[in-house]
Amino acid sequence: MIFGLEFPPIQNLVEWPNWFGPEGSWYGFNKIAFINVIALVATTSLFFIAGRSKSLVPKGAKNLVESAVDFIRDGIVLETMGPEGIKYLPYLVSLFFFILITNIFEVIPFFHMPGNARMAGPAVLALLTWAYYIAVGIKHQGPKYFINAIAPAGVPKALLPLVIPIEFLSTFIVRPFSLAVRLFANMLAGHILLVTFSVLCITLFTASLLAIVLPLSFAMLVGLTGFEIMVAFLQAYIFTILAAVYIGSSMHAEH
Amino acid sequence: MLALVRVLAEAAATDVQQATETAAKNPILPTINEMFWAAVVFLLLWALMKFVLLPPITKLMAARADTVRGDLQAAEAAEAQRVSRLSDYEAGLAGARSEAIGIIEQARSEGDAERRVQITAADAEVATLRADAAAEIAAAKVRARAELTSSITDIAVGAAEAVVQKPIDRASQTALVEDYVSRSGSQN
Amino acid sequence: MSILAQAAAATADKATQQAIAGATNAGMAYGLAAIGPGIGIGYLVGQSVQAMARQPEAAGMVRTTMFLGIAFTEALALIGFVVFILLKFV
Repeated sequence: MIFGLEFPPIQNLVEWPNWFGPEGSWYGFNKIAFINVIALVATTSLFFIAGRSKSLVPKGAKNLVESAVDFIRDGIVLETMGPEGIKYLPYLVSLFFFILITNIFEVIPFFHMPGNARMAGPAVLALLTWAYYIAVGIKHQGPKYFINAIAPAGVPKALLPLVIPIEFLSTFIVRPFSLAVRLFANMLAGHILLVTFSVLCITLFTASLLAIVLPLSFAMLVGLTGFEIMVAFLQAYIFTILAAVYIGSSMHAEH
Repeated sequence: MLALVRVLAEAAATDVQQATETAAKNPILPTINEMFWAAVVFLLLWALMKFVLLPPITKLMAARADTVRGDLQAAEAAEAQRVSRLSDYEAGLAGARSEAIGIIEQARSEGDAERRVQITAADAEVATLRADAAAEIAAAKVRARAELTSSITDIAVGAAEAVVQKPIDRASQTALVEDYVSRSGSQN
Repeated sequence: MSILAQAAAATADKATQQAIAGATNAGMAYGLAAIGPGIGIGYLVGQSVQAMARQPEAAGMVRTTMFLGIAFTEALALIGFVVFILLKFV
């Protein structure tokens, strides 16, 4: 309570009651789950519409989907993994679209909640990516993958006691943790930022004298909404490109 | 004393309850139901993407890339054909031009030769004609001189005979007259 | 009765104090966590812009690497933000 500004408790901002299923049960379906399902349906229908038309000239949804796939293939896969990474394209495209659409609900009216401002989504995606790049490493290098990963070739023997724990931590612990936390914290921060300015606008609207600064606050809110759209896109891109880098680094022993 | 203990116990219980409540309401930790739905939805999306959604898109993009490449190659081939056709045409043009030049040259040289031959023939004819005329002139001149000499000799001899009243040696007088004629001829 | 009231007042006081301490620590933690990544990202983006200006044909590669570097650098600030949330609201 500062100058009549009543900030809601954070639980009210990010936690949503179940629509069905008892609270705390493993299948309780709430707003976040609904956003995830919308992401699935939206991506599926976009790709379905795009894949249905057989004309070689893209337009509408097809144009959007094709430019996105082209962007992921040329800008992410080929840049970080090279041509042999093309077979991981489906995973990366799914990641990109899922994260982008769940993020973009941050600014969609009547939702105003990024699906990834809850730790669950990012944690699941990061764990899946973690399992995926370990699986790719084992597939490409066999059990030697773990040795190659924690003890890079060319490191002097004397440094190994120092290098092995650091590499183990950074490869198998910090990577998934930072992947999840990066996405989650960015979206949560953006969400709290938008909520802060919305609350400020509402408070100023009812304030008598301070209402003269309302336009500034509102302009800030509008600007931040645009900024958050950019952040939603950027976080999807960064998550995808980091997944690509991790998968690519598992394909060959580091040197 | 008992009351105090009870109060403390209650307070502790409330604290523990609050602590557990806040732990359950921790905004950072993932909740199991959201993780479940996220995992289900994402795995479904991945499977769909891998087997249903992405293949037609990539196939179509590859087809378009092939079409574009084919069109480019066709355009390049057409361009090469055009260039070769142009060079053929230019080569033909150059051949025709050189042929025309050759024909003109040949005609010119033939005409030159013809003209030279004709000029030579005409020159020769003129020269013979001139030589004939000169010979004729010379003959006429000789004849005229001989006639003149004999007539002058006759006149001179007649005049001298008339003066001296006796025949004069014609032969010696002829030499004199000839000398005179030739001298007068040279004076003219 | 008075003991009960005192105990309640004491717990309330304790909770308020804890909340104030938590908020202060949270602010400090996030402020400190933002310093290093702020400098780091500024330096990183500046160098990337310089590289792109020097070699515009390598701009795509530089941009990709720049985003990767930003992602790694930013992680520290975001962990600071998470610590802020933990200290402030938990």
